[in-house]
Amino acid sequence: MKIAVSATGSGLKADVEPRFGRAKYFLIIDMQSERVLKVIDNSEGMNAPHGAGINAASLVAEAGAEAVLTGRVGPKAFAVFDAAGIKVYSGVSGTVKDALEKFKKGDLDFDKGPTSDGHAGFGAGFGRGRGGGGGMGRGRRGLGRGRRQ
Amino acid sequence: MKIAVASGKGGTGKTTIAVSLALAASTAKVQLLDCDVEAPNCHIFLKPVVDEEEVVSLDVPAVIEQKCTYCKKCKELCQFNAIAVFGKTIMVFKEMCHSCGGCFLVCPEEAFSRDSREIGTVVTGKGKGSIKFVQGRLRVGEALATPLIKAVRSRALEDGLVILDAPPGTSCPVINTVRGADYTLLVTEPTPFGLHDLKLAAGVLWKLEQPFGVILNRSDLGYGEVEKWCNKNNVPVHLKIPFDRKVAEGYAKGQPLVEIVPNYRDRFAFLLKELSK
Amino acid sequence: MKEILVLSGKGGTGKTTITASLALLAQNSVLADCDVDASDLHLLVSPNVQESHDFWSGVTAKVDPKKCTGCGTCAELCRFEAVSMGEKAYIDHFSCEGCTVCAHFCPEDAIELEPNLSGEWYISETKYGAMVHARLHVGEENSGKLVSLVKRESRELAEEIGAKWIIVDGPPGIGCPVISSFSGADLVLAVTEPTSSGLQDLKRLIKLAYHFKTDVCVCINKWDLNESFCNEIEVYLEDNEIPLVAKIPFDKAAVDSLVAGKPLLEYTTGLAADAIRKMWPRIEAMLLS
Repeated sequence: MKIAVSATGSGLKADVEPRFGRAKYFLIIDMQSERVLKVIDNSEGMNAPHGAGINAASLVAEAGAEAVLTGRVGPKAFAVFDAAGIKVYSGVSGTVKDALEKFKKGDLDFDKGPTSDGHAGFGAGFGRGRGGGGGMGRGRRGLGRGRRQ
Repeated sequence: MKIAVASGKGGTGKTTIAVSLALAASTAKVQLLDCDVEAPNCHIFLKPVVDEEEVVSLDVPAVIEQKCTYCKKCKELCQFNAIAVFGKTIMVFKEMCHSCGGCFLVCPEEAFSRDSREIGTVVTGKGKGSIKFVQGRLRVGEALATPLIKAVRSRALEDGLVILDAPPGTSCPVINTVRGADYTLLVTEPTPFGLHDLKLAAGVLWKLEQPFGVILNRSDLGYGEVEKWCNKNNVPVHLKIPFDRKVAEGYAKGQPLVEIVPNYRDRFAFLLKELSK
Repeated sequence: MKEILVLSGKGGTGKTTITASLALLAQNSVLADCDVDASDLHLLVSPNVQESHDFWSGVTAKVDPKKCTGCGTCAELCRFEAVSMGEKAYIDHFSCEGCTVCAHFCPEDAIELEPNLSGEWYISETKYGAMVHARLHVGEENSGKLVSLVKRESRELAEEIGAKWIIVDGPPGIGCPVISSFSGADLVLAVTEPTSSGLQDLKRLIKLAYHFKTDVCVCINKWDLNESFCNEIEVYLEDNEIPLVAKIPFDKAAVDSLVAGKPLLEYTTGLAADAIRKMWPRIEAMLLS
């Protein structure tokens, strides 16, 4: 099985880059041998004015990865992974080596949706609907009423 | 004649000035274009009767899957990363598209058909004193304001007096509003923020090589540096409007300045006469 | 680490004045000025610039007159009316979107794509903590990308120094730069004023916050300038269950503090300053709950 990790450097000792689309490197790793099969240099794509995530996700998909380990993934990159049938494991930190260990042990869970809403979610609709969160409601009401009287 | 009303800083009274100019004009043909499409507010004061609401859309691509050979030429040309191609999959992110048309042109298989993305609405109508009114309203969630501003501007009268209310700032949408105006009024207030942002806005007009002058709103805030700067740089200060609680309260309710303090009507009419010379 | 994004929709509601005072209240924070188009926060916090970087964004097309034959292909294909034809083609910098269509289809290969220097960004020190800010050049597009950059750098800086808060002064409006400013924000503080325009723009802003599923709270600045309208806003907030965290009265001292170039809270202890001081624990509670 081939997996992709967003990374700050080109070896297993490098850190996992938290921002998927803005990662400098993607390491394509063979899980059996735990060897780096390919290093994708994303230094051009990471500085793209628009849609860095889309571009980066396409590169990873093209390399034949079946899963990706990273920090945060935006909705458009997620859509690409979804279409390519690649599982996304976000919230991963530490070194690439640590991440592989956790993945092997089954300590990581894959995502059902994007981790950050980035520039889009345009088609996504107003998932949460109205409201600002429960606990604060009371505090606000107290303030609003008190002052108006 | 086209007069643009702009300001580097938001909330200085751009809309107040634009509406006052339109209401004070003695010419029969007056039109107000609200180009502040992210926060359009002129209608609050002009209370227009709406004649028409037109949805503005951009042409964006859709893929005809059967024709696509995944050659990636479109992806390579697209500067906005609106197209992803990997293996035997192609995806178009139409919200990323700037509608340059490059993918249609470059595709050897004619594998794109036309789709569209709504960016906002252009509202036309008649406001107080039979002022012709055009307003752009950006769809919430849409990032591209410039094409909508262009759509508003395309409805400008050829003759008569056209007032353009610009968005705040100095970036692309502002340029697209003030460009080609016969004169631009920069509205500012005498505070360090006001001066800082006036300098930026003046920089835009200097770069465009277009004539402009200043209107000082809340002119009694007591910071003299703005006027000093104007004098030093030969920028005319056309009008000073002191802070007046009555005006602020009227504004809150949607009353135009020239209705709250009627003698401003003459002052704005005089300014228009001066500018038309 | 939590990030508070201060927005207003409409300009001039007091966004920056309030941001500067929050910076003073929130201990251990990083400041980010995302109003890259007309930034003002630096006028209140007097940053001492430590690092200065160029901001390059996209490309602009430029015609090589030696190669151009004046065939007009570029003018015909450009969707942005950026090309005007004389004997040779001329491309207007302000209208060019950098789509590269003209360069791709020029039969003479006469159009070059030049990287665009669109601004600068800085890392600075202030009395109230580190600050990331930027300046977009006049007439540049793509302020969204510069906003993303400022946010990214401030986040990295905050992680590096172990800051507890990131306080972001957002851009006005609801378009591209505002959309960019939403990523990573834990809470939006919307600053409004009791006017028709204020309420209308607030509603658009709240709609945007829902869109991005970001929590939002509101403060009404200069609330006593129109008490009945203020009431209308409060009713709206209550109907929509949006927390109102402060009502800040009109205070001439706010203007005086601008002139003095200091955050309001440092300048004075008047009624407005008081209201802002009381607002902070409410925001803190929302973020830590």
